[in-house]
Formats: sequence, structure tokens, C-alpha cells
Amino acid sequence: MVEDSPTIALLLRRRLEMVGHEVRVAADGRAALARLEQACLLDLVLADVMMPGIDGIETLERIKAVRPELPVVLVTGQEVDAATRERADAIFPKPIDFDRLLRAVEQLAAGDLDPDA
Amino acid sequence: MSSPGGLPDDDAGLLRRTLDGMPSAGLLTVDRDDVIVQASAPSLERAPSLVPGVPIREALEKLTHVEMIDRLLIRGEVSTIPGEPGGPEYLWKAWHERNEHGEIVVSFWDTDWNETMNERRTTFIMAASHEMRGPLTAIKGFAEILNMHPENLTPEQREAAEIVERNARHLSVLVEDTFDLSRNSFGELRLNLSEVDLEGIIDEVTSSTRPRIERRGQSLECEIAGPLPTIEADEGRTSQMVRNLVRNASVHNGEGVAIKVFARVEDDSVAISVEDDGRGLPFDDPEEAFRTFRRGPGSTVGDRSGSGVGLSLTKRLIQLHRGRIEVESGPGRGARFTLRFPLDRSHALTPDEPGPA
Repeated sequence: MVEDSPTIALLLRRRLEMVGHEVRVAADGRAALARLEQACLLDLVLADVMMPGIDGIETLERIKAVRPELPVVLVTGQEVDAATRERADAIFPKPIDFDRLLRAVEQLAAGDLDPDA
Repeated sequence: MSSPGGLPDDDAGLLRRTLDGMPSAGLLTVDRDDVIVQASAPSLERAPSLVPGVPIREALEKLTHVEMIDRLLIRGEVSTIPGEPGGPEYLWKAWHERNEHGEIVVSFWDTDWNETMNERRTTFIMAASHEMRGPLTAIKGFAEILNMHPENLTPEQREAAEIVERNARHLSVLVEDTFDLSRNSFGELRLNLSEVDLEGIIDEVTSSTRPRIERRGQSLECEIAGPLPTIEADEGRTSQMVRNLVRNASVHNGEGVAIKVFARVEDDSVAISVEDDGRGLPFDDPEEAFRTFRRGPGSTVGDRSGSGVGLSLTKRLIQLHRGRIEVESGPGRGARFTLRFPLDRSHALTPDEPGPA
């Protein structure tokens, strides 16, 4: 999970852990990309769009350049362009609908590439 | 109290300094013979020919025509007059109450001043509501986590956690709607259009709101007349509109009220009505319900339902869909809100078209 707000990161993490997922949190895009190079066991990346430095959209692009098969889910408070919409596996507007987000994460992590998100 | 600049600290001096400090407004005083007595510094800057000692009519005749001057000085109407020949225009107003010296006040201000103030206010509201979203997400989200295992809490804690969650949810809707309305002022509220199955949306909204409504001792019923055609709409926004109306019907009424969602094709539109048999809208004119922060005379302090933000946003959203919202209500006769989506495909929306401002 890539999220610059520690509180929101903790909230998302708790909700994901409650349904059995294991979560690693990176505070920004740079940290996430560094983590990606070491760990290959990730099933899915969940990233906030608005972050200082390397934002969610750039994180998405860089991840897809090296690991196109790794699902990336974006959470955003603003509109995103069509190209990003196309590239991301799912996009969730804020305020986050947790039930839908958890369903999509479940499906994508299990290899279902077309969740109803 | 001392005053900067050594000016006398009487009312006139204070007023003078205040007016000189208002860069977007000019101010003149005129005696009973229509001769200019005083002009504030911004006034002299914008209308340099209107100096003390000059008859105001004579000076204005060089800037505009006689009818406009009469409108300003005799009829007391707001008039648009330039500051200097061929220069930018200002809004002028003459204040006809004379002071003890028989003087009247003529003021003028930048035409875009009102717009600027509105824009600043909207920018502030947008920024403020945006800033509130993060903390609110956290409050609401963690309250939900607390309520997932109520058996681990004492009855008092359970009650507290439920109240926190309910109010966080309410505030969250209010903040989101306020944010959307301010975005709308800047033309930033846009639709993500797709073919939408209205029945599916109504099902989803009624099944997700029913538990809460029934907990309040109210009932929610849904009737769909015949198969509804799919329409081109924004799915999330359509769901938001219906949810808003259902939620309103519930929170504005007490126990025992029956809420009904009724959808059908009618003439050239698909109509979705949300009606209740409750106390009715507290306004003489039901259209008042669409104005923000209007409360009916019957509403009490702490009545959490009265902001009108949700309805105002719903009206805007249905207009963006080229549709409309209708309201019928009477005291004790309940209220019925109807969303109408146009069926005429020749006016089909395109995703790039944000709709009328």
C-alpha cells in the first residue's frame, strides 16, 4: 500500500488485515518502487493518487513498465485522465467505499483481471 | 485611542481612512447643490475629473448620457458608468439620505468586485471541505471498525461508537455534497456517462438503506412499473441522487413513516419518485427545499436535517443529466420528489460536454 497519510494507511491496513491480507505500507511512490525491486511476492499494489514526490499516477506507470502483470488499484480524490483510467486495474474515488474496494482487491489478488469496480 | 498619520480620530476621520483603504470602491460626497464636496483617494484615482468643487452632473455628462445620470441621481438605481472617458466601467450608486449638512453620498465599485468576492468564498469552501475529507474518512472508518465487533464493547461504549459512526457518516455526506457544490461553481462537476441500469441502482440503494430505515421504525417499499429502458447517465451520481432523496425522506420524518420509491416511464422521461407520508416540507413554497441552508419555520435547533445542501446538489446533478427534479408537498401530506431523466436520444449527452453552467 502506498499512502502518505499514516492514519489512512492504518485504516486501510486494518480493513485489509481483517479479511486476511498481509499488508506492507510505503509512505510515498519512491519508497514503494524501492520495495518493489526487493520483494517479488506482492499480489497487488494499492496506491493513493495524490502524494508528494512520485505520485500515484507515476507509481502506476513505473510499476506497469517493469511488472505489467501486477495489479495496481488507485484511490483518488480528483478526476484522473483517460490514459490512467485505462492503465489502472481499478480506480476508487474518495470517500472510499470499503466494501467495494475489498471486493475488488480480493478478485484482483486472486487473478481475476476484470473486477466489477 | 491614537490614530496613525495624525488624523483626527473622530467619526469623519475614521470613515475617511476606511474609505481610502477600500481599493475597489470610490466614494464621493455631494452637497445639496450637487457640487462634489469630498472624494476618497481611490475615487480620485478612478474618476480623476470628479474632484471637489465640481458639480457632479457636469462631470458625469462627460462620461455618460443624461438618462444614465438621472437613473443614478434621481431614481437612485445602480448604474454602469466609466470612471474616465473610454476607461473601464464601474457600478455607481447614490445614497439619498442626506446628512446634517444636506450632503448625499455617491459610491462606485469595480464591476468584477462582486464576482471576485463570490469566487473567493467558493474557493475557500472548496478548500475547507476538501481538507475535512481526510480526517472524516479516518473517524468514520475507525468507528466502523469499532462497530464490527460490538460484543467486545460495554453497552455504553457500544452506544458511543454507534453515535460516532452515525454522525461521522452524516457529516461525511454533508462535506462531500458541499465539496461537489463548490466544484460545480467552477464548472468542475462532470459526469462519467455510461449505459445505466436504473433498476439495478434502485435495488442497490433501497437494499443498502433499508436496514437503517427499519431501525428507525420506518418502512421502505419499492415499485418498478414495467421494464425500465437503460439510460445514458453517471452511475455513481444517479445512485447518489436516489440515495439522497431516500435518506432525506427518512431523516426528515419520525417513526412510522412509509417511504416509497416508484419508477416508471412517463411521456418522454424515466421518472423515479421518492415519496413519504410524513409531515411534509416546512415551506410555503416547496421549491425552497432546493436552496442551501434554508430551514423551515418549523425546524428546531439541532434538527440535523435542514441544510438543503443535498437537495441543491441533487437538483444540479439531474440538470447535468439534462433532466429535472419536481417536488410536491403539503403540511401533513408528506412529500414527493421526482427525478426525470430524458429519454430523447437526439439530445444524448457526450462525455466531453459538462452541461450548462
